[in-house]
Amino acid sequence: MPGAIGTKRIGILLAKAGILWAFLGLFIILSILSPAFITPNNLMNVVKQMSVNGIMGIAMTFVLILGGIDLSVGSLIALTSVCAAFFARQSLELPLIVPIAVSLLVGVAAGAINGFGIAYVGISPFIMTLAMMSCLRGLAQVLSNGTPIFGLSKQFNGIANGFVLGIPNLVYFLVVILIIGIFVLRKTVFGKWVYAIGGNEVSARLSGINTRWIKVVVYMSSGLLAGVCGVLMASRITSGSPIIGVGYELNAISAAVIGGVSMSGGTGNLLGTLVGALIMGVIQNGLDILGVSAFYQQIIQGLIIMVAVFLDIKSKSRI
Amino acid sequence: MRKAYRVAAVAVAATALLVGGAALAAGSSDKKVKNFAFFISHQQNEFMVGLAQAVVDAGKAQGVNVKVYTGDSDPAKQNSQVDNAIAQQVDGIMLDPASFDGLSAAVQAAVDAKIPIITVHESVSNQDLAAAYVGVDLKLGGQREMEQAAKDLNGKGNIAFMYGALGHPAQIAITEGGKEVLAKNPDVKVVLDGTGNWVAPDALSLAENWLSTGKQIDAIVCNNDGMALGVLPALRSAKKVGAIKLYGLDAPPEAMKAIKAGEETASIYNDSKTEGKKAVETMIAVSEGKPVDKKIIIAPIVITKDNVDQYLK
Repeated sequence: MPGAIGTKRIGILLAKAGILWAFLGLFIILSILSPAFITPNNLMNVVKQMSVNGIMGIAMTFVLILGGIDLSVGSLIALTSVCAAFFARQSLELPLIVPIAVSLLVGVAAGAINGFGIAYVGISPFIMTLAMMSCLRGLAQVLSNGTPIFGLSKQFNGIANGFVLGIPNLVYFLVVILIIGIFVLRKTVFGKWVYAIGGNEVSARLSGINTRWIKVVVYMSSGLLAGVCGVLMASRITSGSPIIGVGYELNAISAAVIGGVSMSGGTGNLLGTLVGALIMGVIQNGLDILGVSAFYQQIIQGLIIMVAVFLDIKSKSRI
Repeated sequence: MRKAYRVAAVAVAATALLVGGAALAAGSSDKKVKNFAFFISHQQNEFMVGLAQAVVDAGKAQGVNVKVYTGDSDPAKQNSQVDNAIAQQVDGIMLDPASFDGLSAAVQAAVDAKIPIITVHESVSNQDLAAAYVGVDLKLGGQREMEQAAKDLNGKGNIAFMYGALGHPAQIAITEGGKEVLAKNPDVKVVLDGTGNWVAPDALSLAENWLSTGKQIDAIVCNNDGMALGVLPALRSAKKVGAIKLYGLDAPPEAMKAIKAGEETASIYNDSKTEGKKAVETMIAVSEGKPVDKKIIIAPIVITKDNVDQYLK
């Protein structure tokens, strides 16, 4: 009876999605504790605030499934925000495509350097991207002369701050990138290769997969998405700044790992990462709304994440 | 194979030592011009970048060499940097400590090596060992900022207080100054507080969340303008620019523009050029054995719409 089996499969999937239940539980608790949390305006704020982390979480999911890591994304976001802002200044009157294109190109270039160093020179991903984290941050400081760049065009500021059909633009960016990511990861051969390399690189290579080229592409994609986030962040804070993005790589890794991606590669999915990013966003937003003292926020954030992942592990082990 | 790599590594290290030593010898043979070292805790905002530049420029103007070392907000790194400078026998040390307690060993080491040392911009726990402190008074700046806010609110209203990175010496000093003024103004209440970590994205998210609470906010007072300028987009979205007064500290050009435009209410200008100039002057005097004041404070200037044109370049 196909109908009954289908229901059973959905039941198992829902039971295994421990992290989703953790998110829903958190959501309900915060709604009860504060009516201000559940207003449409605040819920839109939550999604706006987690969108950049969500996008970088998607990028990081690919990198982690591959068996790598990218510690340079925070610095790259700062660098691309500076590049975008430089060309987005009202005084230059350049078409909108210029700052966006420059930011994406810089992102891809940095990603390519990471990929080349890791796949062709053989430097470990941790070391290579750690070194780039420092270089890119320094480059951002040098290019901006240590000061943020303001005076951006209204059009550029509208990219992150605008609304379409009553929904913030940032949501559309996140959703579109998520859909593309899910399509690539689940429906293309490329996606299967990424899982294969992460699962067992040696067998992947021996079975004829071009592991080096695929690694470069994955790191380039991470760089590309960092470039997107550079534009979005510069637009959101109406300035390009060399000091933003500190710790963003850890936030992206957290979102992915909370969502079930394994740090040793080979497993994970993008919907889990999305829930991970949502949990992080909801916690930060909720604690601010509740007026929890800043000193306690960090402790509480850590505890909630521990509980959420604990619930997730327990749900997976029972099936 | 492995042995060859080890031999190569030792050879490279030995060469580096020899080259470094030769460079040091070449550098220190110039005895006429004094060589000072300025250890700045970080250059992560406009003010600090300006301060480092001001020190270098003042050095050139006064005919001395000043080399700037950036500590990346890491006391351990700064301790190493100071140790290296002592080993190189610099003529004087200007120290902007990354932490109040964490640099006491460095100060002691300089005193033991008989190298003149002054602190700049922030003080250290064993400040009495240093020849002088030259700097802005961040606590005084925090006081002036909150006094302006209290004045603009006519002594009564709701404030949301935004801190810099928690535990950072500047955050502690500025907040302490602000809280002292609040204690004297009991009808000015802090209804919300939190940290924006000195940066615009965090400040923006926090301000958005504050505005969502529905609480009555009459003014947002920030430990620095990096955050105040990050709060502005949130005020613009909520159409509360001007309705909610906004205060910052540092007064970089962009903040001064915002004050002129009426988007920001007031800020505190700490003149980094004067601070840098006075630091170098004091360092030279100390290194020549001349008497100096133990504490040289650069007074904070309150910038409002009324006087912003004087300072806006």
